Amino acid sequence: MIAVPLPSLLPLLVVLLPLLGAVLLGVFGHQRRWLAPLALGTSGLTFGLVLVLVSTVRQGFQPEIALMQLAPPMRIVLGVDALGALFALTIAALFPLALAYALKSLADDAHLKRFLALVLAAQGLMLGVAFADNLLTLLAFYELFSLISYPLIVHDRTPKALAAGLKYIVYIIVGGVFILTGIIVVYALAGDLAFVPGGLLSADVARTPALLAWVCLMVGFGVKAALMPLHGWVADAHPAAPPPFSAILSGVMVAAGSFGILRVLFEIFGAQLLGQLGVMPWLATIAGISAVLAGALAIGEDEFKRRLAYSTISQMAYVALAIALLSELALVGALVHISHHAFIKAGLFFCAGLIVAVTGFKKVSEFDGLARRMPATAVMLTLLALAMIGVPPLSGFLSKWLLGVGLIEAGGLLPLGVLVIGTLLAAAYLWPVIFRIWLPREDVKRAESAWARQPTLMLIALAATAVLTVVLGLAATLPGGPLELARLAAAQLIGADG
Amino acid sequence: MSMDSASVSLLLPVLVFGPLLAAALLPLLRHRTVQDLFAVVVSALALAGVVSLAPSVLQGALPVGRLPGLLGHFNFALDPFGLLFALVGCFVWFSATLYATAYVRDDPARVRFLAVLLVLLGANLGVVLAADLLTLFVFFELLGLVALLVVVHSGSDEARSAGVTYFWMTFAGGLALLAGILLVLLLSDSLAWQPLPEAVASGWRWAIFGLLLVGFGVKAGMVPLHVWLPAAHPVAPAPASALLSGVMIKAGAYGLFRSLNMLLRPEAGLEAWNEAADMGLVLALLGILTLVVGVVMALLQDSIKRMLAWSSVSQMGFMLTGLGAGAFLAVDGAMATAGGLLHVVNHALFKSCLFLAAGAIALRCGTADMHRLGGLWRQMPITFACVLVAAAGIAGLPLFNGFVSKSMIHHGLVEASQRPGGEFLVYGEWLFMAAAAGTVAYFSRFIFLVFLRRAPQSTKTPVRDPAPAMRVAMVLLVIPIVWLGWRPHGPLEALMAPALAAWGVAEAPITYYLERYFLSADDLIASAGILTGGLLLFALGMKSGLFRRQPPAALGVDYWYRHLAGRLLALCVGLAGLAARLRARAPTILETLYVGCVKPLWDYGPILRRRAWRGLLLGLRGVTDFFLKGGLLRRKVWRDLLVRLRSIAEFLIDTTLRDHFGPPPAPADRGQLEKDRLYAALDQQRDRLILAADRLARERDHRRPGDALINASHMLAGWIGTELLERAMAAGGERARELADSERLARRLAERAVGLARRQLDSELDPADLKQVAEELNELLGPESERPDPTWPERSWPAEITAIALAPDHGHWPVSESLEQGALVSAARGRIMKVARDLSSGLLVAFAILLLVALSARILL
Repeated sequence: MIAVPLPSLLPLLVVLLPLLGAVLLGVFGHQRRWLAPLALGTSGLTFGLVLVLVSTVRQGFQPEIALMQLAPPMRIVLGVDALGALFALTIAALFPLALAYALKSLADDAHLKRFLALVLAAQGLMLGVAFADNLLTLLAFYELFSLISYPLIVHDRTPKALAAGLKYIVYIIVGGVFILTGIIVVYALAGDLAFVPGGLLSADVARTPALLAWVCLMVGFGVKAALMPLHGWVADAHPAAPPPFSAILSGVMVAAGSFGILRVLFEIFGAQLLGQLGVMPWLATIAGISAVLAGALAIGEDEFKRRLAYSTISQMAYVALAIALLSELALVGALVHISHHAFIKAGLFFCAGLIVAVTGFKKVSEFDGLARRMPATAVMLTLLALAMIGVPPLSGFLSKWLLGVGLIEAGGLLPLGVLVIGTLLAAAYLWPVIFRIWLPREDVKRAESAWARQPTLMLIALAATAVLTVVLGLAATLPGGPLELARLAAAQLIGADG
Repeated sequence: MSMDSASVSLLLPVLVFGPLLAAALLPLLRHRTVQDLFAVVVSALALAGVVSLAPSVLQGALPVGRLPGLLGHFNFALDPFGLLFALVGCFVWFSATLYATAYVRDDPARVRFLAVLLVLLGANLGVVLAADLLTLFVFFELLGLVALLVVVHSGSDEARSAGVTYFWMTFAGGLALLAGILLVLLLSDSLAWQPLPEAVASGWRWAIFGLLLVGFGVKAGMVPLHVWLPAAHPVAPAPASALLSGVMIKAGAYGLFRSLNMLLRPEAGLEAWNEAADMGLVLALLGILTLVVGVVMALLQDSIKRMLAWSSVSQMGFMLTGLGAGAFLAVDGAMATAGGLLHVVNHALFKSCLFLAAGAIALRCGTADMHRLGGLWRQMPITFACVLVAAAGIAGLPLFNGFVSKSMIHHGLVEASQRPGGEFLVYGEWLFMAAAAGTVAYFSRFIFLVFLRRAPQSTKTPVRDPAPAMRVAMVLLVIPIVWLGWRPHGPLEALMAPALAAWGVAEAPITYYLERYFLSADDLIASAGILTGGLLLFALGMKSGLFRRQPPAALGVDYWYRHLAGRLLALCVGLAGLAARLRARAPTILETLYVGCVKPLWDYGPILRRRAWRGLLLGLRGVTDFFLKGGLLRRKVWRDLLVRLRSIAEFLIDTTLRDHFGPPPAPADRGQLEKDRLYAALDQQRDRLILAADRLARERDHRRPGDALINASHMLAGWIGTELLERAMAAGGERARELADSERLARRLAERAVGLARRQLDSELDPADLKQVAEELNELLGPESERPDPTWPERSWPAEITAIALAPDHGHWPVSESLEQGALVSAARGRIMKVARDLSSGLLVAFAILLLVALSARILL
């Protein structure tokens, strides 16, 4: 299915609106009453515009706009295809929730204004990543939002946060160098950087430089996508960042790495060339080991946010595994999983933040009997954790089902085995949390287990993710929902090839 | 399922989702009575809905229904077997809900409990009405996981432990089921209940069978996957136990029945059941194993509920044996299959009745331990009557329902043992008879201990029959037990036979059974034999105290499951620990590698570069000589120009060589930094020495006048410390770093000095000796010439980056507030500055290299 290009200002608007919001926050943000309307307003408006874009894409158009020309073939172009629309939808839906959550969770923070402005800016830049129509544009937005994430990670200024931030920035810069190298090699090979469904590089390109480009780009985006062994920053950055930003980090920022890998693999290399290079089994192997190992490591982590961070590594490894199989069904599974995982994991980080805010507990071993103190949070946490494990009929189950169908169709029993073991491990690291919360051992029931007041705004953001999880599970085929867009995107990415 | 007679019915999705919706509405209702009434009415409506569909289904119609959701639709259909399971399920549910309204009257979580019962009702209907495997799986998992809520209802430690076992078994089973369903989807490209395409190889069929066997077998309580059942069923509240044992575990038998007869059998009309028949044999063997294990364990229990739970395991074995033998007999297996299915119905009736009765006893008497109860027949006559009928049913007495199904399974088993390949089922038949006798034995024991014998002294408090609702519920369940014992023709002839015939299974054996075997003399004699054997076993066991023995834990599979799970968990935790250790160690490891392998190359860098420049110089000379002396350049102007250019180039290269490759200038700032650090370390060392000297002086206080000695030792320590400092300063560089960095040498020196001082103090304080100390210290510190390299060993930027990347918590971060002020801080700052500098220059170098690579790629290709 070929989309019809449609010149439109809308993609640019969508990217600029949050950035404008950030600027406005900077100007008017010293008055606290302006913070909420400005942040939520621009972010919500962006979401509305993204919905419009999604509906355009569903009708078979591809809104695009060329912004500027750096050097003759190198242009900054924004275009919205189904893949971009799916990612943008996820981003645009998640950010307002995180902002609303942050308004309450960081209400006492002197630097709330800065935090909100930076998050808004990050939203704009991430949308730019989603809409990038060539590799150069992608790189530009990708690097910018990676850098802007640094002050958000170190927001708390604790030694731990600073250390994690330093680790993050070193990883990201090194990854950025690799991406740039890859892009230079690609440019040298093809003379262009545009995304072409089915692959920019022709199938008879020289093997060695193509391999070099592949390795560089995989390493570069793999850092963000938390592929082992490039995952070092993930487990440190997530617990260190403020909860609303951990949610974004895990939900869409790590996914941005997978998104970059998707773009590069299917629109630069193309399935045919990748088949010839014979490199995908390596990626699949790494991803499979990642999925299992990260799951096993998560079990041993007592700090809840750290455990969730390892879970993210494991879940994103499924996505990489499904991508590596180069099949349309597996790709649908991968895309849907990115989107569904984003909301589930964001919700879980919201829970972690709420628990810290109300009780100060960070470790799973302290959670005994928490349900009595914060029943609403406990219900939501249970729901989200079950979705993460993949219990029907929640959204996590559907994406795992789709992944399973794709994996078994393209790769047979071995990838399915990885998925099954990964799911068992997911149960092993999340189930004890649920169990502890609801059923404390009789000898450790806490005395101060009275009901505690919980911040409403944070609960609302959390409830929104929980509702999304249920809705996306029961009615995955919603028009304009992740599943439809994913099918469209997979057909464009792989269907164009055959 | 054939779709020709399909008719769309809106009732099916309503039947499934109605109870779920009702469960959501239940907490909104205010009054207790209204809530009770609501729950009962909803379950009654569900029953009525199923009943209303029954006539059309029996006439061959196939109501289907769908509801948008999931990846398209929830698909439902009601075929005769679905109808059978739905009918009995709803009937038991209605009774259990009625019972529950009275049973949980004073429970603080009663609303939750009632709502959960409704959710489970909907999920159970979803399982038996599901028309495709995805819908089935969704409701199967929902049923399994929501049931956890009733297992852990009491919140006690026992319930908690049962809940853990239950969750893991259910979850792992669900995963196996999911994998099996995905395989089916892969191989047949369809999720419908229909035979797999013929092209599917035998290996795949066995794989699917294995996965589905595990998935459904866990739920069905099949040995060796049964461990959750005896743990979970006794701890749940009585109505929930009745539903768990009576209805929910049947979902497993239902799934296995459908899988064998709909997925794995060949297309209708084909005679060759090869794999399906072998799978049936496997299932029958597992069934026999299950019923034997269940009976043995049931005989050994003291608690009524525990005994009933093990009895459920055993009865599931009967069903699986029947279903397996039926599949083994392929087209002739109607009798065994129908027997298995009828036993499902029967067991649902009598086991739920028994659990309800057990709940009534436990509620009234406060205990479920058989040895503490007695004489209840007079105090709870209605309960006693219900238990008597239900026990007669489960023991297979003639004229009660269990008799029919057990003898059908028995006949099926005998027939299977006469087939080629199934000869060894003869032993299975013996075990079957023995297990039936065992069933009689443990129910005799139950009735004798609880009802008939004289009550023990401790429990003389008078009790009554339970509340009216509970009595009604029990009596309701008893009626069909008797009715089905008299007239099993309805379900067998009208429902099962035609439906089996539609799959190509001959219905003749069923009619043959009803005409020839039902209540025949042979069967009655066999039944009498079993009864006698059971009573003998009961008498023997009671006399010898055999029933009060407990088998060793290591005999049970749950012991080994726990063991394995514990090991796996420990492995994971160990892995996490290993990762943390590695993370902490990685810089050291990498540094060792680097110093051992990479650094030598790096060190040769300057020499190589110098050689390269030299080579350039020589090459330049050679080339120009070639032009000058070869006479290629005729005109003098060009020659002069060349000579001039050469001299400029030579000058430049010479300068470069001289300037850049001379001895490297010592880094001044770092030297200062190092001295600071060293000073701090040595200062500390000196303090330590003084303290030691003090202590020494005090120790010897009784031998010498104090002050002089203390002064002397202080002087000594001070002297040694100063000496140390001076020497270290003078030695500088490598030795100093070693001193400051590890402090090991310093500590050794200090110990040595203190030792010397001790010797001094013990003898006389003599300048000559002091001199000796100085010499020894000299010796210890070593001559300066030994380590000629005064530079701080450089770590290159890759090493620094790895150090940063891998060791976040290692305390060398630029976080001044968390560090003590002083030498360490400045050292760390120096290090960070170096990282930054190296990083930037390193990145530049990387960029340049990459650019070159790209350009060369562009030029060469």
